[in-house]
Amino acid sequence: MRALSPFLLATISIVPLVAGLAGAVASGWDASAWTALMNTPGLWRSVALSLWTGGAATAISLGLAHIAVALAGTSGWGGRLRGVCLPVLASPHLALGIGLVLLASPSGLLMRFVSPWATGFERPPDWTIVQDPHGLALIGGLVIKEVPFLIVLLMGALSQVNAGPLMQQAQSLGYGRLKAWLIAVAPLLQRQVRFGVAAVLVFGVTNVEMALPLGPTSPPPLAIRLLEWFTAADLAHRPQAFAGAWLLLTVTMAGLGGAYGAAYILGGMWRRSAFSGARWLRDDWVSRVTGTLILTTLLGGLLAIFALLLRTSGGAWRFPHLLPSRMSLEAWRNVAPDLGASVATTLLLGLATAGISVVITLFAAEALHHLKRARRRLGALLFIPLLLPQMAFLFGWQVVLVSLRLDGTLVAVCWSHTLFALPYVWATLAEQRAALHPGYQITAKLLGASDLRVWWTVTAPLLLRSILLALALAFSVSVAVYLPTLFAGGGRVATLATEAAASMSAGNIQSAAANGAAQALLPLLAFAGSLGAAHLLFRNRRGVPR
Amino acid sequence: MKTAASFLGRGTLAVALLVAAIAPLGAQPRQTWPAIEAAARGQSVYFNAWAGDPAINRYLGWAAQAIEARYGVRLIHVKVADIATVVSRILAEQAAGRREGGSVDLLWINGENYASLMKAGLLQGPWTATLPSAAAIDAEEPSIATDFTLPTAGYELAWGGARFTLFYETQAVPSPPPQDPAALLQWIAAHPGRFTYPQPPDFLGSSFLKQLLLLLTPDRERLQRPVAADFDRVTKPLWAWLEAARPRLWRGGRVYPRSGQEQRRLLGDGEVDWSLAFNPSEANRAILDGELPDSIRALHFRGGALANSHFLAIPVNARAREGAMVVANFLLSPEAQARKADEAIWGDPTVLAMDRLAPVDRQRFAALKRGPAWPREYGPRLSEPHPSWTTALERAWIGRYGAQ
Amino acid sequence: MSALELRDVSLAVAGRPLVGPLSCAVEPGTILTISGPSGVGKSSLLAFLCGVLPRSFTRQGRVFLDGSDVSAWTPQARRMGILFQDDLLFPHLSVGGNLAFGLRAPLAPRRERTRLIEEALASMDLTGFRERDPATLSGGQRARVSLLRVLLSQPRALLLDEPFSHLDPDARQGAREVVFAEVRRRQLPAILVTHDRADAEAAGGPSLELEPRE
Repeated sequence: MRALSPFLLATISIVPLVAGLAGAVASGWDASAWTALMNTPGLWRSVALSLWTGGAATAISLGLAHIAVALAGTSGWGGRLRGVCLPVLASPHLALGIGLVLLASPSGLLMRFVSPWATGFERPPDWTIVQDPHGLALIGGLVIKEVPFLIVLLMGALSQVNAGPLMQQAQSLGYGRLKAWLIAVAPLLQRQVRFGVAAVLVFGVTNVEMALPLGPTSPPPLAIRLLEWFTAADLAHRPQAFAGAWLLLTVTMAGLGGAYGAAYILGGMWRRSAFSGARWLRDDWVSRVTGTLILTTLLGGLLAIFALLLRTSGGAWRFPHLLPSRMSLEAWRNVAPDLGASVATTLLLGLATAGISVVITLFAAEALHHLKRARRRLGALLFIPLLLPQMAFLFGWQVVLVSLRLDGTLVAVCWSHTLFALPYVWATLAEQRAALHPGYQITAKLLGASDLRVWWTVTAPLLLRSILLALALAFSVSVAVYLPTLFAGGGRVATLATEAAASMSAGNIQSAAANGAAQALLPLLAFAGSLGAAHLLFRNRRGVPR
Repeated sequence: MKTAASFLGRGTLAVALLVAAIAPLGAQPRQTWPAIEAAARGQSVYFNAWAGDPAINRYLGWAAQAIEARYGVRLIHVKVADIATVVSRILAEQAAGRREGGSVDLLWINGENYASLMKAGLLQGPWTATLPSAAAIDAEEPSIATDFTLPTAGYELAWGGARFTLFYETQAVPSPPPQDPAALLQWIAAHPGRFTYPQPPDFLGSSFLKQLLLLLTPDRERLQRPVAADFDRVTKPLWAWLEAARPRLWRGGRVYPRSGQEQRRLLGDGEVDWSLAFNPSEANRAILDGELPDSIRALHFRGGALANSHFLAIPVNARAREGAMVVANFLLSPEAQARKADEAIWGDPTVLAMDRLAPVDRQRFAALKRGPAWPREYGPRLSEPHPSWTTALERAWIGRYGAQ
Repeated sequence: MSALELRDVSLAVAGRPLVGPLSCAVEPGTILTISGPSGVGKSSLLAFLCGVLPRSFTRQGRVFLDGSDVSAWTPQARRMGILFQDDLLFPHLSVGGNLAFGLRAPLAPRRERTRLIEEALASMDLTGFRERDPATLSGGQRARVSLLRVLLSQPRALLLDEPFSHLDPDARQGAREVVFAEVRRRQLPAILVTHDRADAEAAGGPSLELEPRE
């Protein structure tokens, strides 16, 4: 099992990718599909929207994250920064998007806070805040979600770079904190985080989870169009959808190429700035502004979840009242029965995904703990699904599942969830396992413990915190994913994500809020449980790795 | 002679018996209703129906319990956001060669969805005449015999009726309210940002276009026939109205609600003053639920309200054919129809003809209470245009306003 | 008959020869000192002796312990003890837990094992340390616990991979004395890998210099 497990992981990841792409080729590679695609009104505007929203969101998030980590991450505030990021980080994109609609729209929570005393509005103003045609709301939503992610990513990379002394060196040479960061530390992190940033960009360009509640509707970004075509009644739209998936793939590659080019140009600017000698001593205002921005995004995320909870009540919520008119259990009657079923399915899938991905990864990490290159290669392979537009292979994957009569089964959905959870689980566990001092296992073996006992009594406890984190991560990924469930499940497996999206599309905001709230709470509980357990376990043992 | 005659007679009898014995093996068996009920017992019926309204889901939950208790048939409500996806699944199953054991037993459809399935020959039938409850329907009535001008021909069973209704906030709309498109346009001009309609191709949004078109076009009869090259000429007044209204709509006509349900929420929150529906009881039910304030009232356009029916159909590859028929029969019973028409439960108008019912059943309907938001003026019924008009209107609307 | 014997042991990695061929014998109670520059293969040799040499190495030759050919035995079966540079006390177990790890099963009741552990701790002036978190001990104390752990597993040979190099000079002397005394007392064959000449001198046994291969 141990020897086969890396191959098992690779198979879990590759089969849907290859099958999906093959299916997409088989179904969409003909002239009429492409003609239909090209004749779609507003197609290029959709493409432009996708690139614009994804690119701008990634650039802004990266900038803010760098500044945040530069100012807070290298000092003692690091742990607190990470902790503050966690609630928003754990919330699924879809739930957060729905919450932001409830927060930021003209009849949303924010306007209600300030009306009518500050604004004089007795009725909601006719402003287009969410779903604005330029995608600003979508960019905002993406930024709110990606800044914490990039902060945590940068901080993870930071621990492998000797940032503290470098910063001190640079500051002692007279540079302000930000410039010191820019010159001394940021380039070192660049290499470490480039795949993570690429994944963020790909998600920004190809997502539907944020675009559905917040993005423009006429025309919508390309990914939303593809979703509409693929799930339309008129099967005539299908080949067009497949062709569109290829277009999306091309657009994504173009986006990544553009990012690479931008990085190159920025590199040139960096060189000039680094050698210019400018000290940037007066950067307090930057830290204040950025600090405020980041706190605002984090606060926004939390308020969005709060807004979700409020909206689960079904009663009329006449503007400008702060609370809905009926906050009683009665109001839950409309959503409760379906919600129960969705929660059960989501929990089942989440636990199964967490269990399967962590167990197989532990075996594979054990098998590869001394083989650095193999680990790197497997890690890269597992990461590929995050660098491709989900739709590019999920469409074809569904076609393959249908022909195998596996569509709509929980097994197929669990497989699809595991596929997306593995990159995170592998990243959490593999290097941690490899970083364990081999002497522990050797000593234990020589003291007479069997291989199994060595793993159970020595390796596993030392990895336990990482294992708990990996379980929480895999669970959260499973709860959050939408498109994999929709396609592998053939529309018949109802999780909180699919129900929230369906309700949002149908305009049933109460059901969307209820499903979204549950969807946001589950990962929070998982992380709280995992971190709590990690904190409690071995709290009297200082030597155990965190 | 006598023996020959008797021999012939016996021979004929023998042949007749033989033919009678063999014939059922070759021909389509004509089942009687008791045989269907017996075959249905123990079956599970997957009823794919729109699940966007919790009240409908609860009604179907009640129906499932009653059907299980009385007929031993398990009714499973497969919740669907858009029935179009189910249609595409049936078409996909046919393409994959799944001729039997399909995943859909009973469908709630009408309009263009019915048209696509009929065209592909994927509906069972004719079966509606076999149902005992169908006796209470007037099968000749145009809204029951045709679905968007296509004949139902026993392949679809009418389940409920619909009339295009507008709901409005009396605090913002003076009495008497606007009752024709011109008056509505005036109100919109005077109250910018307070009116909107769901974005086509949402069926309610498309229906709003059709309703306006029926009232504005000079040539109403033309709409009963398929779309042709005179589309622009026929629809010119509609686009003129929409263009005049657009700058004064909610969000300046750049963003539209996704569905009637979302617009109802906008009405409840106070973002707009109007909402649209096909179910005339919808506002009353919302008022009872606390979703809308009791200052809401309803109206039909004076020139006529777009009316249609919604139907039940059985796919050709359904697994539980008899079960589906038993379910349909129950849903059409006076008891189920009266409960459906009760505003406190669902409020969907019935398709049963009152004069074909027994007095005790007629009483069920007479006893139903109506809330204040019931459209007071009942204009004439306007039939749905040919389905090709819906698609053409949607495409034209999207071309003008959908992708800017 | 010698306790620990190597016969024609040679190791190669990636096609490049590393160590050997090497043949030597270590008598009970004596310490063979192996020295040489970094990277010459000393630790790999020890790993080979324990049975934990990675598969990427090619190996030849045999190892004998108390007359038995242990070359194909699992690490668990060989009954060799090892001490590394880092004390490698399991951080998630208490001092007592670490020591208990080495005790050979089957041992009867917990009381018996606790007694043995307390005795061992007392023998090294570590009374009362049983419930302590290893991370709270000083370097010298940890080295002693590590030694105790190995000895409690009743090894038949002792391998020492620069075990004193991480200790500060004052602790080093004491640790050396304790370890070597135990080796002599239990008459174990021992191999010491070290850079430090003082270690070699204190060991007082035969020495072997490994030279890098060209």
